[in-house]
Amino acid sequence: MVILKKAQAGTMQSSDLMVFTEPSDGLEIIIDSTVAKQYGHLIRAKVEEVLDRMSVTQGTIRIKDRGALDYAIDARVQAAVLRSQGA
Amino acid sequence: MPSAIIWCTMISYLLTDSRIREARELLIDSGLDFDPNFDIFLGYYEGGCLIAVGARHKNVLKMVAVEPEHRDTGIFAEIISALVKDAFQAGYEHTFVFTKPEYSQSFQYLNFRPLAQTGSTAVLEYGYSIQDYLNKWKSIVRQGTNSGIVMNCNPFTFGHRYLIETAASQSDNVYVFVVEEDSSLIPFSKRMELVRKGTEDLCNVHILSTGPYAVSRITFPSYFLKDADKVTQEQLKTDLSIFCRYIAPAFGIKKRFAGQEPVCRLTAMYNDAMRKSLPENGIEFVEIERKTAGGRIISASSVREMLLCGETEKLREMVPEATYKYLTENTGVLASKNATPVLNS
Repeated sequence: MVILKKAQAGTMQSSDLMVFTEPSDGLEIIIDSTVAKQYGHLIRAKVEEVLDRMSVTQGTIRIKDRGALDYAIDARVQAAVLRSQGA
Repeated sequence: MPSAIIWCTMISYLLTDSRIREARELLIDSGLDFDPNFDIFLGYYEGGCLIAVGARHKNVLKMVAVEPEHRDTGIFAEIISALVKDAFQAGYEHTFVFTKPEYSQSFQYLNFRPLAQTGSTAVLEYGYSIQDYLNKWKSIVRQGTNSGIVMNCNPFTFGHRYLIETAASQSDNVYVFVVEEDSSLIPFSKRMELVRKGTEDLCNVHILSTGPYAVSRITFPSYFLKDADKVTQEQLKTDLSIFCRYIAPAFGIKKRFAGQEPVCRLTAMYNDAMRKSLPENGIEFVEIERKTAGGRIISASSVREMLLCGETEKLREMVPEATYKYLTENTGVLASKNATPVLNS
């Protein structure tokens, strides 16, 4: 699967995250998080897992996180990726 | 039995005068000014009462206020979230906010990044950051005692060329930042192309764009209004602090060059601000006497004037070949663009 267009999912509420996608040649994940120091690596691992599960091979994924738990990350990334496909 | 009260909350666009008047009161109560320049205005209602507002003009969020008793709740995040999503729908993924320094932290909690701060204003950005911009140009970073020039080049003249040549002879590398804001007669991509063509023989000169980070609608809005009276020291400080804090260190810039400005008051004020604040940040400011042709200072504004008056032959001694060719081949398009209300600079 390839990110075909810019898309967005999520909110800025505490314990949520905003996910932005855009097309690009490689696969890139950029994470901004208020808890990056403690949990940045776990957020990245979760995002990578979702992208892998959805077979996303190309695109830029920008995460703006406010301490979301992993199932929220899973849902938001999935929603943004699906929105990056449809009409 | 206490009866259940259902607090219906919703965010909606404020479209009528009476709703905007209500928003205006909330702003004034919060010590903020109402600014009639906005594309959309959002209100957050709880049980029919307006408790938070926020507006957007292009990619700038403004007039954000929350009723005092509802601060420290999620409502601030709610309204900013709605503004950012609305901006995204409108095609702006990179948003900015101007706020009071004491509110900077509240925005940082939402992952906004601080960009500049002066005594009374903090500027923050969301979506992309200046680090993304600097990373994009990493490949042209060279070691040495380098110089920077910020120019609009509307269009590129022998005057610009002279300034770049002078800087190139006094520096290891020169970075020419072409103003990206598309508010000028000649479109950005063309201005950039003509600067590239006009300097391709100078091997220590590198051409790049300013992004929104120098002389832009964000850093220096009054430049595009052409109203010298509206220039505030805050704006000049914001623009130059971004240059000193981020741009100069990333490119090893030790000197900034500019042409003297005897005509345009606005540019003269910008030069005055550079003369004062750059040395405070360890950057030398070098002002070069303007190049003349036929006893007249070469300036982009006089070139545009000649072009629009049909005096194309006079352009020969003012602009390089590539610019001359572009101008003479596009006179009609440029003249009609000039007739519509496009801001010149």
